[in-house]
Amino acid sequence: MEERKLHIKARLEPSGLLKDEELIGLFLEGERSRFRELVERYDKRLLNFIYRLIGDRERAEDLVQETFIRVYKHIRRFDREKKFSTWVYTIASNLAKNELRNRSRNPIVLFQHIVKDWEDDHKPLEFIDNSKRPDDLFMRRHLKEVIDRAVEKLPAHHRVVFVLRETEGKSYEEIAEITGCSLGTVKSRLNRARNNFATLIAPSLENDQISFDGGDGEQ
Amino acid sequence: MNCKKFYRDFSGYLDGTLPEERIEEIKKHIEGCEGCSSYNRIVTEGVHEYRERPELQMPDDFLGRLEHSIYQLEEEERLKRSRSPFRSFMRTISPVLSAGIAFAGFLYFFTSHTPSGQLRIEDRSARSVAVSSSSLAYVSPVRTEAFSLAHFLEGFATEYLGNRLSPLRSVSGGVPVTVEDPAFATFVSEDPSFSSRIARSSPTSSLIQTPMGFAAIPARMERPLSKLVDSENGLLVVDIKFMGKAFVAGLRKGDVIVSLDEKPIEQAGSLLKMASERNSKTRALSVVRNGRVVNLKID
Repeated sequence: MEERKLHIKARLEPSGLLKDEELIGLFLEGERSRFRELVERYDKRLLNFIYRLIGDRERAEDLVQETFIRVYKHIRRFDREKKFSTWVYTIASNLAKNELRNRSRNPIVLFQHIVKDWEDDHKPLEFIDNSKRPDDLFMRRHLKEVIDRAVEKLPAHHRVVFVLRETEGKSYEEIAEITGCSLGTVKSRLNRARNNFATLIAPSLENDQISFDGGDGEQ
Repeated sequence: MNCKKFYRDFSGYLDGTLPEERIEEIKKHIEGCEGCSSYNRIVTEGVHEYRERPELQMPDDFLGRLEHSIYQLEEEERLKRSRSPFRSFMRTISPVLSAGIAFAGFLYFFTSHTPSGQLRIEDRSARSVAVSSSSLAYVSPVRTEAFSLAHFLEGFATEYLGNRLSPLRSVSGGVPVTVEDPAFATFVSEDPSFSSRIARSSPTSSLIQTPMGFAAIPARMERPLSKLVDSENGLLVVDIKFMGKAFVAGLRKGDVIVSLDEKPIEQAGSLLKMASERNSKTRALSVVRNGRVVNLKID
């Protein structure tokens, strides 16, 4: 810690003011400690991001490490006109995707009863009033668990879009770039992910049974 | 606006990407439709709860592990570059000649029963083989194990005890380095853990941690390494802090420190004292790496 402070003191510019892309520039000019700063900016965010996608902390740590190794390997080829955060998230998300594929444990795709021909009177939600169920309190108490499980149950390609938007706060355009999808696909996946998410958590949040059956031509 | 349209536009509404008039339309619909109003609330509250989940923290040794991996990567690149002339030569010679060489090597292996190439085991010492993993220096107290490790690892990296191992000699110049610290050897062989952790949990080990951002153990060099610096004594760097002072100065795991501030290392104790001094002056180090003496300055 002491050593880090000294480092910071010696810098001409406080790193907090530098953009990621500027840090990379300094690193490539020979200021090797800048890479560590870059790592420290993103390591925790990526750990949480990957963990939310794969649900395995230890593997998530390995994949964060692998992400930075790839960054290090290819940093010279990185186009500094682009956003570093988008690049690093693209690497992390691809690694998480491969991990899920390798595990052959892609979540079962739930709630895929897609109705292509909607009638105008179809409603996305139907409620059955059973608010006096005895397990309400129990369900409330376990809301967090239910929410985690709901996200786990989302199909991987929906989950990544959902997590990028909801916890990482990425724009649609960034998500499209990170996932390599079109903007339309991102919107559609996000909509369906939110819909499935709502369907799964509704019993705990609302005390109501929700059955939803709808979609808009998932891509 | 109906429920179908509400559903289709919902994400745009939530994320504020729709035009103002459409947002207003949706707001009106929500006010008059119980189902869509609940849907809106469930998603909003659910996402809020999801975001509030406690964040995972990075493990303390994350940067250290990353440094080891990057170091290994650099080493592999360096080896690749140094091998490339040989590779191009190999590509040009005929397949028959390659097969002949391979066959000769095969025969040699099975007739001599000794590992070919740089990595050989000194018969006289059970602990004379040290291999470094991505996280620690591994010193085998069992000769047969050391032998098989060393033989197997020659020119390769592999998985052993869950760690990626590579021959220490590849970074210390093809000369055996003997680590004479039973506590260290035993501890490491029993627990393939990180050397930074070893330092904390093994007080009997003579692992030296320095304020310069590296840890080393007393090591004895053999010829011709010892001949190079006219001394057998050195300190084997077994752990280094990623982007720390020593790392930035160019010190690497596997280096054998032979002098500090131009004073040769006569015994471990004196170096321990010197290396542990906290002062801001520039320290000059001489290390043996790849059979050569390299001078470094740590600011």
